[in-house]
Amino acid sequence: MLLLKAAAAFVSSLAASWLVTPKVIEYSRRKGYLGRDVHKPGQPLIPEMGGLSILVGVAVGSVICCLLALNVEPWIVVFTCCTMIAGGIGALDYLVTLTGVTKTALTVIACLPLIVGAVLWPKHIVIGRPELPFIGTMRFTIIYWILLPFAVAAPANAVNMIDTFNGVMPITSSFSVLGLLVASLILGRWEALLMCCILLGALLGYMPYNLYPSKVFTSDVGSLAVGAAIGVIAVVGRLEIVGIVALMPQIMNSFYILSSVKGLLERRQIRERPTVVLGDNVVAANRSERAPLTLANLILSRGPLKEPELVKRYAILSFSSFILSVVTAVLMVVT
Amino acid sequence: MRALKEMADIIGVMLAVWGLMLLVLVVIEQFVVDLKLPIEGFMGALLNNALQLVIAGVLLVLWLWVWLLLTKRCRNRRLRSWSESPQELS
Repeated sequence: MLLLKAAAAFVSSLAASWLVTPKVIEYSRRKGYLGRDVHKPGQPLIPEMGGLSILVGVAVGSVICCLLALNVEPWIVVFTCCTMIAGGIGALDYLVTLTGVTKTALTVIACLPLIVGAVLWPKHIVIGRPELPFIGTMRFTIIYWILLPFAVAAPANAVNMIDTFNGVMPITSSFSVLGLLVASLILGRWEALLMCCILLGALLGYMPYNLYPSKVFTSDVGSLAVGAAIGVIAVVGRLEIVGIVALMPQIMNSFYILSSVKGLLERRQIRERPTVVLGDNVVAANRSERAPLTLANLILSRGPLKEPELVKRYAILSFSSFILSVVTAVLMVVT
Repeated sequence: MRALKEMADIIGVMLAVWGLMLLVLVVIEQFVVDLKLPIEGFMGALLNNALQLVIAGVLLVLWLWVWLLLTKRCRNRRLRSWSESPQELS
């Protein structure tokens, strides 16, 4: 029954986001929600708000899960609410243009359903017991609750920060979710498994439209929502450490940006770009001392690459973090 | 295969960061959390928690510092190899 539910959740969210994306593209074009693809010749205008289809995919997958269980499980309410709130914050940022600090502070709100869920249904949503290889359950108690808001805000912003090239967000996030999915199978965290299936389906349904050359951009609506969803899966499934490992490329990228920019700044607030476009889809690292260090800058520091080749290197890095997350889960079982 | 080879050093940094993260967490959980000052009562508990927090914080900052150091070295090496042997575009 569980496998049937997982398969149904995966297929329904995949089909929903795949079918809805062309409508979202049409809607964004009509409304004028367009952004320039600065890495392409002529910098064409591309419809944004593609993340809406990921939200639809998550919603449909969650409803199908509830229908099959003939019950509304608390974890699914928490998962859906957190994802939708983060997506809403992304939409607000797109429409109003928030500062980096405001946006990050707002993403902390996306954690509220998780806290409320843990208080209302303590038997269903057990949080505050992270597990570590070699040790087992950690003794973090008070500090865990202090850090809890960042468990959603940090991955949300990390996924948002990596979304800079065609297809990077869905590819890297899919590998992260796959890592969590395999880990939840190994550790028997069935709620996390279902949430992973829902999110992975939504990401894979959306991916073909965002791959090079992108027909649609995800924008903050999708990237914040996906990051928040990954955070919720990690917390509810008590897969915090696996989640950190699975999100390693995104975390590396955010850490490099924060350490070189020294603050929470929006892309438009950073004067020097980390990469430069040489023309004909070729991207190079900005070698200026003042250029912020990013994962793209690090990858390109060996020489310029065409955009699809750069994205392929992101995929290699994400695949490596997927392997590491599975190894971490195995270590949690065998030690 | 060429792309994988080119990414080997960055994957190496990631591997080191992963290993160090697990090591730091295990050290915190196994040793730092058990650190106790010989002071009784509320003040003792407060000081114990503060001490544990400071040591754990220092370990985590050290981890981040090593991470940044490894990355900067990796980037400088990559930049040198770019300058020395300008490669063809993929």
